[in-house]
Amino acid sequence: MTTATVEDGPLRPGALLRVEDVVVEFPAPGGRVVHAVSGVSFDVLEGETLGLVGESGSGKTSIGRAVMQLPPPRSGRVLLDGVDLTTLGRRQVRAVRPRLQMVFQDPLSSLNPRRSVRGVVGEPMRVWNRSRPDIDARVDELLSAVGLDPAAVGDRRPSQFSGGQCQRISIARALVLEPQVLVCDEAVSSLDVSVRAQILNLLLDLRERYRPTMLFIAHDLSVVRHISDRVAVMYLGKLCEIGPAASVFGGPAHPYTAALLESVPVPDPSVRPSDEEVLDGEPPSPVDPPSGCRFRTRCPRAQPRCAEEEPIMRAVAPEQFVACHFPLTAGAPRP
Amino acid sequence: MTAQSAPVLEMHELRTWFATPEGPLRAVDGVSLGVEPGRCLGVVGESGSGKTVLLRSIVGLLPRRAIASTGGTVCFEGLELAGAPPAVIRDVRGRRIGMVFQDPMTSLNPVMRVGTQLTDGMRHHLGVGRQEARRRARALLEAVGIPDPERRLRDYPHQLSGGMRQRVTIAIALACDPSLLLADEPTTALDVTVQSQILRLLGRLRRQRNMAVILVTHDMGVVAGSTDDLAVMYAGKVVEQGPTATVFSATRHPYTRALLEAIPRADARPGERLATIPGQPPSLVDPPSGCRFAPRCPRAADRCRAEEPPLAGADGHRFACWFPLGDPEPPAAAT
Repeated sequence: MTTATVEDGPLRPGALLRVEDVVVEFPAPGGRVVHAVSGVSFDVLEGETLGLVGESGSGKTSIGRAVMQLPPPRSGRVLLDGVDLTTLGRRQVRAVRPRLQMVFQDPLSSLNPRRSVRGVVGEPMRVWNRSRPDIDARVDELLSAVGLDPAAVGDRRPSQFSGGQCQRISIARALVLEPQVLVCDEAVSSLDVSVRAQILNLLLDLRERYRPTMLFIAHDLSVVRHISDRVAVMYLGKLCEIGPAASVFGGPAHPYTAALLESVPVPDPSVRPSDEEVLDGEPPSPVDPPSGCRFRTRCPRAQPRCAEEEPIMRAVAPEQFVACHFPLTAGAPRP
Repeated sequence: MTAQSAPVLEMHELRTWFATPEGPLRAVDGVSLGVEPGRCLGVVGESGSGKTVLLRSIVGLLPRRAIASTGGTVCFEGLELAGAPPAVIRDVRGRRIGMVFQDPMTSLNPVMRVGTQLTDGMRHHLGVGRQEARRRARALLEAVGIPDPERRLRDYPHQLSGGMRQRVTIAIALACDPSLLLADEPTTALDVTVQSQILRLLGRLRRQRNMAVILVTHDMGVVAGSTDDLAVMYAGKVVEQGPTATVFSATRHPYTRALLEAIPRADARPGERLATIPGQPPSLVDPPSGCRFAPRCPRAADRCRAEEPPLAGADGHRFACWFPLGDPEPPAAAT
């Protein structure tokens, strides 16, 4: 399988986090292989937020976990500040972990139900043998930063909190070691609309205050558009398109990005969806992905070439890259 | 849509209270709604607002032992369902009222073939013979857009994709040609491109069959694109209802507006904070006196905390608020 080389791709020098040609595979029954991620490259500059969108099975969570080395990818490189994490031994990876932290989807199941909030948030610091006064001070600071009163909540257990409050606790825990990179995997997906708005605002506030580099993984495009500087769109283990959020959402170049945007229900009754199907069918199985472009089986613009030759990432606009033979841009070849 | 005809279903002051150790929990507390043939009524609200319990109360799909008390009337095609003997409700449910739930995997029987599950209802309710049921099942699968229906009839649910499964549950719901379809978050578990397919399908089937639909969802985008009328629920009560376009464009209840403003908008400036609702929904065991939204409402005045506002209005647009939006602010809008 051919994949985009680094030179072709959208990688920039000096990025804090750099993912190069990462492949994640899982064993499937019958000796087969699930191709969860097949050669994906992107980078994130310091202080930048990259939104990673895609439907279920697109490999977005697998990428997030590959960045965390949970587990390390099958091949490819993950560079943090120039250091390739995939070549490090277990002890060395452990030493790097404080710089990479993660917030998960289900706030309740990612918190230990038997620990107090103070214990949960302070645990990463205890693991790294910080002093008790340091831990107490930092935990107080972060609980306040996520909008919880340390004196009132510190000794309570996660089960006494609502989903939104648990997510605040998870975020405080993820930030307690001052990570350089924060991976949010569907961090607001299980929350109600009004609570989701609170947590998104909180993430925006914390980003201004602590300036973490963020990989924001979500299936909800309106949320990703709201929080991301740049956006990467994944389909069936491949990157379709990457670029500044305004360009990707304003002028999608990949037919899949366009279909995805068109599928999102608009909260405005005067915009009635047409009766015409935006996209037929469902994504094929990642066990047996289509040849060439993986989107071609559902693509309205697919041509014979799409089945034979895998499209490589190329620029369609400044900083906007797309992996498509027939992208949706003015002047591009029409099928 | 066409002129109003007699409602298929009319609920009046419907009430479902659950028994809890702390006392009765007022999950649905006096809801009056109706839906006409060929129209779609959307019921929106956040978790715990009572929207699902409302839907299940209509067809008696709630654990009897959990119920502390019920009240009100549910008139379906001239038949009173509230308090009707189980045999009467069983005869209506699945025949004249079809149901589609959120998770197609758990609403299908994993060890029964699709064909058996599809024909069961027809054979039981309509007394149709095996051959005829089979023929109708094939036609139904075609109607819901499943290719190669003959083969799919022999499949088990696990052999189908998520979208296919939801199409099958819709086919089952339609098997006895119901006049009312109850859909509880039918697309929440699906990817956005598949969601748009299923919503279009439901719209098409509703128009073809002149069927009434009640669509329960938390997604304002889904409501905007798919419903004619809308009821917004908060803490077990309807706070605003009316034609969907009116509720969106001339919102009168502060909660409805807060829900709409909590959605990230496409035209927002980068990093713009979302409007949020302070606090949390009230306990339904011990709800606040007066308006249940008052403790979180920016416009709340003394009257709101003392007296419960009735659901009132004109031209089919009703709202339960003493100081609705569009009216002057209440005197001393202080907390």
